[in-house]
Amino acid sequence: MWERAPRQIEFTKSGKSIIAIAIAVGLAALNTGNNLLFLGWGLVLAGIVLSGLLSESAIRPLLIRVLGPKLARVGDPGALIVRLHNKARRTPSFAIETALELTGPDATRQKVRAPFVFLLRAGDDSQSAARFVAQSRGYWQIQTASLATAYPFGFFKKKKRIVGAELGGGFWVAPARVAVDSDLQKLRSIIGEAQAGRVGRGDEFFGLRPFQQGDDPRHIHWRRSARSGRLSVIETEADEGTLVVLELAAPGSNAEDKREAALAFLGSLAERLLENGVGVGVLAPGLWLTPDFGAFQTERILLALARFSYEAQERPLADKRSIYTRILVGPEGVEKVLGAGGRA
Amino acid sequence: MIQGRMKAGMTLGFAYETGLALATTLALLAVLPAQTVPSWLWISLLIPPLAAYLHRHSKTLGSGVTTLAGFLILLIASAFGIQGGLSVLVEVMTATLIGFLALRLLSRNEPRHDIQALLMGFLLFLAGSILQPTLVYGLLFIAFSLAVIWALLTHNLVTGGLFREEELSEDEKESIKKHVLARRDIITPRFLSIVAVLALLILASTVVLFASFPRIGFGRFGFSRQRGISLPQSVSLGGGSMAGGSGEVVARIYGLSYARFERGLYLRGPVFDILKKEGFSRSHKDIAGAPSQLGLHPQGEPFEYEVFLQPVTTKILPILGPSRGVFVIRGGKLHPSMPIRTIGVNAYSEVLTAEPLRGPVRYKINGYFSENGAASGLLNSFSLTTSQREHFLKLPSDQDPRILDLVNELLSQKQKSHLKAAVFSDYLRNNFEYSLAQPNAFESDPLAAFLFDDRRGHCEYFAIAYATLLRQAGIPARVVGGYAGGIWDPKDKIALFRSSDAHAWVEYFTPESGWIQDDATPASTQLPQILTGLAAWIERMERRWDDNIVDYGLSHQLGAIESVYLGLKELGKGDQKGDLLKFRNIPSWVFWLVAAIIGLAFSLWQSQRLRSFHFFGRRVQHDQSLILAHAIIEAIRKQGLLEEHYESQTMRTIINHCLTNLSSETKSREASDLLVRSLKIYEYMAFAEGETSIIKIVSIQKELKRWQKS
Repeated sequence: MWERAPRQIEFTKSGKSIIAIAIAVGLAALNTGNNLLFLGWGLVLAGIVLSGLLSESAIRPLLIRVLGPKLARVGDPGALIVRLHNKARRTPSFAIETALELTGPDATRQKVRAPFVFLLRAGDDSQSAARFVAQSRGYWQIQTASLATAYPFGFFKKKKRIVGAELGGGFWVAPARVAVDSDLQKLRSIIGEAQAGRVGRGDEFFGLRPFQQGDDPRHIHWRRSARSGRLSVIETEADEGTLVVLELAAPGSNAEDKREAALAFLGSLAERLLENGVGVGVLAPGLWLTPDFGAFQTERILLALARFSYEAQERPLADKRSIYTRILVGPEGVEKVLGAGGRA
Repeated sequence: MIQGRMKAGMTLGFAYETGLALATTLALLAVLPAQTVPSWLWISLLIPPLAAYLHRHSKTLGSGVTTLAGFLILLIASAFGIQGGLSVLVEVMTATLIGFLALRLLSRNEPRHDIQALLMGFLLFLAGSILQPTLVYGLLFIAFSLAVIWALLTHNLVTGGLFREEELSEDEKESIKKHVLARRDIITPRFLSIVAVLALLILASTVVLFASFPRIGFGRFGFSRQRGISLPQSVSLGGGSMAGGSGEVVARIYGLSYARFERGLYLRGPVFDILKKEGFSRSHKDIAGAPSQLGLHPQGEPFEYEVFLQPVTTKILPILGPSRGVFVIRGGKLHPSMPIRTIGVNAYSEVLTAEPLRGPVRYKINGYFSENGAASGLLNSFSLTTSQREHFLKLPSDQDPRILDLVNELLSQKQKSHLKAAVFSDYLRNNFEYSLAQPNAFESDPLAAFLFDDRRGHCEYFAIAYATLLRQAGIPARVVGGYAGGIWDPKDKIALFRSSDAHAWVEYFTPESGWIQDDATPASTQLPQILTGLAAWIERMERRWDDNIVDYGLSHQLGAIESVYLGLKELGKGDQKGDLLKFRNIPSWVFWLVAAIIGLAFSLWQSQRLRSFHFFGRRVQHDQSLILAHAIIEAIRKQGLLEEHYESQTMRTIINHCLTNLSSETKSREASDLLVRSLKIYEYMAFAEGETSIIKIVSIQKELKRWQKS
């Protein structure tokens, strides 16, 4: 079985100095027998030993849970929610540093640091956001978390390493956000149609559902929320609008950056089209998303793109793509618009 | 509630600055009162508060100025060091450290500068152990420890909060800094109690470590500074008074009765036999003769007493009278565990050591007690050889002729030596005034000025005048330096001599009684002093400090080990309970306390061991979700389905991998179901922090074990 030390200790600069002083004072005391030097030596060594015990008492009762974002974007600042709990009955924990190690889909590793926690009282929780920027698309795993403290004297930093199984899984990272303004201009006719036939997302009441990330706060039904204690949003029946399918063009080359650029473009375009009230679906090798409207659809598309693999060979059924306006998207942008578009 | 907490304590910034200023001030106080440190350095005490004030207002010295000033300090220190040599090394290093500390405090711009200041403070404090090894140092040690703990704790919190965000702009950093330093929710009564407990633990651990460090070594390299003013190498009329020292205790005499103390104590140090115009000095070579001729004659019954002496003499162990035997218990060298060697008693009845005293020494003497004047009933016949007689009668060639006239005037009828001596001593006592001032020190002939003009002086004037008059009258005489009078501690029955008790007196020779001790100083007739009140309390504390800290050595450690051994031996014999009290130096409650602590620690360790297990290579305490995780992992491992490097995977990934590898048989479907259920419970407990009934956990664990065995 893979074994490792339960704690890692890293000496700080002042720690190294104090060790050097302890050695020097110890030698001087042993040589001269000056009892007051022995007293000073005792103080330094007692400080070092108790520092070890106290840092252990600060770090031992800490529990950590890390929650990844629902969906992150390549290149966009994201946040991991780091929740610490001090399960000690009496002793508070001081000066806690939290570092997370993330592993990307291509086995790249990234270190993320959470804000410094000055004090966590016995039985208390703290919640903070660790900022990070994902560099690649796919599934990012929270590999390890290390809780460290230099408490009480800053002589050394004691670390406790927590491995993935105790942390809380990982999260998906969608393709990067890229500029699609010029291509939106090309598709103005489609967007224009959609705008002409729609007023908002619709006026007819459809139902209530719990609030989710990405929902417009203006749609919160406050009276219902106040009664139930949970945020609820109003769903309205969508008006009729334009439906398009963004189809990923067959990659011209196997270059990774080209493939990713195509996905980034597709995701960004879908997002912008959906913002403009167009119903968007996605067609790609192994992926078929029926066109739909709204924030949910944005999320679905981005999540699907985050999970997308070029290696998948399964093709969706042909009839599913023939009835919609198809926009062929490649690494450089919109390549072609197929069909006159069909209304749902 | 948060608002309430915010208002609860002082700001973190204030606590941080206070800790640093206090620690550095105490470090300065550890060295500044030392006699050898220049008094103008006291001004450095203004630096810590000034630096704290300036730092709070973001005003510090620039690095260029600091470097330049540092070089200047080094240059000055080198000049003093080269001039003074090794003897002033500690003082020069101390002054340099004070300079550097002041510069560092005034120029701190980064957190590491604060740590550097604290380390310098610590080194300064260690210098205090050489310069000022008194009880004051002990009290400062406690205060300094507390201040350093406080300073380090708050520094760690401040730096942790301030300086981690490398990507931030300067403005953002400044904003964070202000926010961090203004926090009031950290320095609360709870925090103070934690610091207090921490300080107690550290001080207790320091004491334990101090007592248990091995007292071995060579003791060849090191520095020591004497406490109190050491006895001079001559008794002169030009310098300051021997008795002008501080009230610091330099010697303690154990084993005396108050009756003996009341009769007047003279702790006899070096003998000065060469008379010159400026005073008495010691001859460089010993005068040929035996103690019976040149030493003090024993009087009364011999008795035993013990002396604890600071290193105020050079190669002489002072005694209360002629000795029959001397045994050095410990000390005398720099290393307290190495007893200095004595080389015997010389012709002047001085107890000599093989090397100069460099540390406190404790020695036991079997000898006699010397009193002023001739013992009654002694009619022994003592004689000096001609050369010895000439040696002790020698007068300065340019002596004032009025002295001879004075002697002739005083001695009209007296024949016997001791009667003549009584005339001289009575004359000096009755017609002269004791004064610590030196009105005659700068006269061309201070002795003549004392005898014929001013008639005021301190003990050296009286001793030299008395000895001169005796020699002029044809009575061999010499001057002795040491300590006289002292103060009596009635509680512990100890006689104490302070620096201010340093004294000079006379010994003269008579054929009837040999060498007789006598004192013509008027102050010598004062009433015995008794130690009372606050002075008594301070002295007892000081004594404990000297006995248990300064004087602590190998013999103490061996004694403690022997006591424990003997105690255990007695215990092993199955003697009665009272036998435990036979532990000689250790009270029985200490034994029981140690036994209780060991027992408690062992039972705690056992309970922790039983409640914990290894998970992913580390010891895990009692945690239901991790116990279940452990059970799942073990079950999968036993089935051979655990992939490599599983440690870095989530439980969900591990189980998913396991499920894909399970075959499609019915048995495997049951296993899949079991694993999925286990995962659900685990994730519910671990991430949703949900409560699950213990019965459910135990039942799933049992199922996992069954599957593990299948």
